[in-house]
Amino acid sequence: MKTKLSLILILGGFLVSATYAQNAVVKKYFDQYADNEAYTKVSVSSKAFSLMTELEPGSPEEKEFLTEISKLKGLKMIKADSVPGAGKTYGIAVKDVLSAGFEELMSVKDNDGNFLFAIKEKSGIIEELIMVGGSPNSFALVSLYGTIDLKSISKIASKLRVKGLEDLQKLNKKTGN
Amino acid sequence: MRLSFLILFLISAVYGRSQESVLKDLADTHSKRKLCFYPSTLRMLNINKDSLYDSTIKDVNKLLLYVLDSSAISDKVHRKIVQGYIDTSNWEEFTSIRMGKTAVDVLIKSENPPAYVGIASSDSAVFAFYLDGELKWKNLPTLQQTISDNPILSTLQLFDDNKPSRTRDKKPD
Repeated sequence: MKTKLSLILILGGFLVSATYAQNAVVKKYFDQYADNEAYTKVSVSSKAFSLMTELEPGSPEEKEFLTEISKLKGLKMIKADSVPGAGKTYGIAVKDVLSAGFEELMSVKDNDGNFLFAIKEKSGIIEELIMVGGSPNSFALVSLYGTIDLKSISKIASKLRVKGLEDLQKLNKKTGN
Repeated sequence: MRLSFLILFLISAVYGRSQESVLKDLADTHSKRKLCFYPSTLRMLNINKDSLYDSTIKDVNKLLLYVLDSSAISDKVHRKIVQGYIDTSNWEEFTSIRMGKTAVDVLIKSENPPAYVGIASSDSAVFAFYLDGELKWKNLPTLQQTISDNPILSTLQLFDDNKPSRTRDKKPD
């Protein structure tokens, strides 16, 4: 009986910690910069995304976009355009992402700055996509979670028109999708 | 048997009241304007008989709109309202935005019917709403336009910033 209870408690603890770890990286930065007005923070839940599916599509392209959106469970973004030490924050965030078990998908270095794209995958399905971007004065961390199709990321990013998501389009430019 | 029904009724009454009481308790003490709409009053606003408007509001049971005074900013009412609902079971984040001094939070209670609480604040203004029921959110501009353009509401100067605020005695934290 005691062994069974211990096993349940351990299993429960593992499940709780696994769930926490999924967004722990983003949560860390949301908490860290909660009161810092220089950082823009956006959080959208699955319920908000599900409302978008109630919109009537005007074209097959919009229908495809709404279908992809409906598979998302959430979006979290934190971004700052003019902050000192952003380059250092980027370096720390990259380490945090890779330490949290995310697998590097791609890294980009261009005129806009450095970008890391990493994913968490389960049974061939991407459950979370994280993008970390940084330059000497700007920092961005974007997390999309749910059932993610990399081919549609660019369309989702452009349609949502949330300032800061445009960097996600680099993923498709590089992979040629 | 009768006693158990009475107890059940009392529990339901308390539980039902608690859904909007967090907002009311905090917003009422800082309220500059307050509008309360029930289905009949929402329908009354539709003086142009706009069928799109009617379909937008048909599942709304109650809508509270607050314009809060400047003391709501210094008293951090926004954060208190959000935390008050997060601490209550069945309420969860719908969307949250922080951009400079602007903060927007919308929370949802996913039950049947659902309920929403929203609060938006900047460095100069705080607005809050409580919605019990379902709104066709894609038609929100229609609702907004109808309320803003309504001649009855315009006559009452409910959105007149020159009207003195009605700050009651503040409750201790």
